[in-house]
Amino acid sequence: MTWLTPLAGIILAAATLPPLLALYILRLRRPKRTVASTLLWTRQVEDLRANSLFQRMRVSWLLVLQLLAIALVALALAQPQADLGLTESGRVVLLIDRSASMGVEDADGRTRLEQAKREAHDRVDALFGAGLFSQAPEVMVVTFAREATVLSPFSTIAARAHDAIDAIEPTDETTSLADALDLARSFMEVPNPDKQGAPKETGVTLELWSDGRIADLGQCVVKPGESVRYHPMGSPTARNAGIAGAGVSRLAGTPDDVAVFARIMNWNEAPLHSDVELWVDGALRAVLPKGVDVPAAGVDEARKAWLPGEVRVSFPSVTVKPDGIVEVRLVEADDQPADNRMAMVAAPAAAARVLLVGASAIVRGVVQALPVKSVDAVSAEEFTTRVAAEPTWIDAFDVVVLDGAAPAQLPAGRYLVLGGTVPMEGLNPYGEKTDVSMRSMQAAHPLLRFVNLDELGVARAVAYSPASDIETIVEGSDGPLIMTAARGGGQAVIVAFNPLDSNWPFQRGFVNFMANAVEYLAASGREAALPTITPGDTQAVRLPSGTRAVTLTSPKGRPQEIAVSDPSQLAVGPLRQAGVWSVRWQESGEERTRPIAVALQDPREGRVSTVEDLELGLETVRGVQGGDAARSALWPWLLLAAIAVLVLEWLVYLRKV
Amino acid sequence: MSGRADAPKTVDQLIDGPLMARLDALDVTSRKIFQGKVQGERRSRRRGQSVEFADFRPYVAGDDLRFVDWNIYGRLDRLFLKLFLEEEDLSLVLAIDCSGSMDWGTPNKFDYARRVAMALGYVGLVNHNRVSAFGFGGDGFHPLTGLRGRRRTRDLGQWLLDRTAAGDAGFDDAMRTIALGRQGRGVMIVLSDFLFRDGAEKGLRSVAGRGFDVYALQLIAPEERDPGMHGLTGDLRFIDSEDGAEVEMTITSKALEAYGQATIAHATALRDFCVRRGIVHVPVPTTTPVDELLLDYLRKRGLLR
Repeated sequence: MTWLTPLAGIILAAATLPPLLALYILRLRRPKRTVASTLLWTRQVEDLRANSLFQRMRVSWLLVLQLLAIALVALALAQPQADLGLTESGRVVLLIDRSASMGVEDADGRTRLEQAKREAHDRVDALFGAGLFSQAPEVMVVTFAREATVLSPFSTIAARAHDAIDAIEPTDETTSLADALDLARSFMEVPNPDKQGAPKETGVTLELWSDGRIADLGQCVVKPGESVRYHPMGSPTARNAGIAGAGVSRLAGTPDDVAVFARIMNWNEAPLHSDVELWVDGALRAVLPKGVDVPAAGVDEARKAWLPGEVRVSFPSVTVKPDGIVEVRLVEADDQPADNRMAMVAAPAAAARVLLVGASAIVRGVVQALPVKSVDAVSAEEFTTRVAAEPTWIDAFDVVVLDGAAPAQLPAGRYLVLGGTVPMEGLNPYGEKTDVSMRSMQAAHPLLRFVNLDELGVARAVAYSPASDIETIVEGSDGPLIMTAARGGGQAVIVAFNPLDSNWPFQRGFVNFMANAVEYLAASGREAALPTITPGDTQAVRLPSGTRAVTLTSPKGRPQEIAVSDPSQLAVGPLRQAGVWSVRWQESGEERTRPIAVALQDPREGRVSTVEDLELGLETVRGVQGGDAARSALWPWLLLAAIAVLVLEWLVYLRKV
Repeated sequence: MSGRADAPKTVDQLIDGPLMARLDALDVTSRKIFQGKVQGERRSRRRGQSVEFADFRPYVAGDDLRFVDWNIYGRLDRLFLKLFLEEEDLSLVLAIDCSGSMDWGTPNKFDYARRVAMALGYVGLVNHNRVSAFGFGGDGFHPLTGLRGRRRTRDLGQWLLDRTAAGDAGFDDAMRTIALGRQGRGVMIVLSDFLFRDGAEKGLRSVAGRGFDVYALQLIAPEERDPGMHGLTGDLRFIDSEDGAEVEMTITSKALEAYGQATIAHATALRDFCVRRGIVHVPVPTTTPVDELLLDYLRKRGLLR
């Protein structure tokens, strides 16, 4: 129970109840009248008393009803609010989901995030509306999507919580609740500087506004002392289909022509038919002739899992200019428009300049056979000398092939490492393996296109224990064989063995791999590389030396100036909105633009139907429907009751008179 | 003597000449005496004891020769018997309530009672009845006995003027005292409002069976009949005129209705008691003129003829 204006009620009661009681205690000053005899009056006499100022308080229905009426009016004036058990005391953490699925518009035209913010505002009002008789709780506001952010630490100031809720911006990121819980718990451990020496508070209420589509829900548990209130946002029947992935493949022979592939998923219970369009640089270039039929989502009996319906489509060749924007659009409207488009920045084919360091004849022969612009060759010692003297020397080359070379210093660049150990953070070489064969490989990776490693046999390879951010493309029988790593604005493809220590040079896949690697690294070097990044990622951009500032423009056209301290290592982001971002800068008096495509590529975020009950560890948290609408003002009912009591009092009075 | 301005100060104010003239033609009757007179038409031992000549009748065998008029026999040579009226010594007893409750109302109940007593006493005196008057109230028991004949009118009047109304009635004791001092049979007229806390039954019972033909005249002031019509409203403190007891009342229509029912119940109980004891109960509003009361009202009730 919350009292908005308790003082007013107390004042009214104090001002009216004592006089009313006094009226009943004080005797009425009646005029005297002599009668022949009081004999006949005493039979229905009310008062037969001594002549004194005060009289004994007697039970009177009229008095009881009048006291009741005044009490009801005083209570109404105090404006009680029925919280119906919603008001918490102590600590409350407001966790608000701002992931891509929270951008779904439901029936009332508001997005789930807008509705969540509105309910959170109401909740803050309810928590801080306790008035004189209850202590305001400490409220913390955390928003989360791919990452969690504390917008307001524990505070007893309502305005701070309101401001924090207002500051929540929508994103197209995936959802991770575990980080948000960890973050909130870490703040609970921090002692309050205003309460030095106070006992540690353990109880906390976690108020969660989300649609329940949380990727890492299995990792979240409710700890002792925590209670969770889940406010499900949106509708359990929300519909969505979208583009889960897309790619661009350059066609041989016509460097400016590309083929476009897309993976379309349907998260609905019914099959979907939709048109699919291909737009290039804002112009419609192709439409699938018969549209696409995507099967319905459902439980896959074989895998014992709920899976969305999926279909892959491809567009024949389209011509794309360098840095052109290719966009696949799903025409069928649904509740989540963010994943109905996926943009990519096509990497234009351009001949690469290749530097061979200590290359063997076989490698040199293969590279020279590739459609590259130039091939230079230096020895390992010469490379070390030149780099030490002039670190920017290698910027003149798109790809550096280190064939067995192990230089002591490796400036940022794009490297194809064939055997040997290179000084790269996180690579962690620790010895040598012998007689290694291929165990698994990412066949879909661009590096392994048309590459078959089934027959690969490696006599001697460097043993690596790579860090988690280094991607293993080919896994050997006893460790990684081929890896990719992004370091310092550069890119490296590391082959753990010297091709001459294997049977690879005698296989067709070796030449294809070399071509893929040069193309991959060269495209990476021109920063129009595939794949498209996901929302929340940061994008490294290499700028010409001397660049001091760039302008980052969001997909919605909102520009933001960014100061550049190191042109070779500018990271922009995190880019939280799906779409095409652009980075502009001035170079030699001309404006240059670098587009960055960001797309929602997580199938889990595509399922937008609301989860009504959350499974947190072993605990099932039931959704609280209606938010704080259950908190209602009681004063109208009290006033009605007071009027009813007054009517009753009037009837009793009439009956007595 | 009452200090009110309108209270009677002289005997003439109690009864005036014209009223006396109209009352001369009346006499007090008793239902019990009337029965005796019927018997008196027969030969009776008691008739011979009377001295008042009534008539003659021829002698028949068996008549008492002592009543033969020998003078007529001498002139007419026939025997006639002299008939004498039976002379029953009729007592008229006037019992007047002099309690405080009587000194109330407009017209004043006590003044009205005295005027009625004066008029009834006058009728009794004129008709040579033995008239007795008793006043009882807070001032004590005041008897006036042995009045007979018109010349005692002033004595009765002065006695009435000397009476004052105050205090408790002491009705039971007064009635018992009157009953014990009874002289012969007669008519007893009780003038009272019968507002006694202990009730009137005990007192009336003591006089009803002692040869009195009792008439209970209940005087009712207009304010007692309908207090609502006489300005009794609002929150009041009633003071009892007899004992000074106070009662706080909120006069509402409900209270007035209850009072009216209590009044009716009180009068009904008194009447029922009187009927059972052979007492004539006569409610008398004090707004009734005295001459109308005597010449019309009481004649119809058989008290006067």
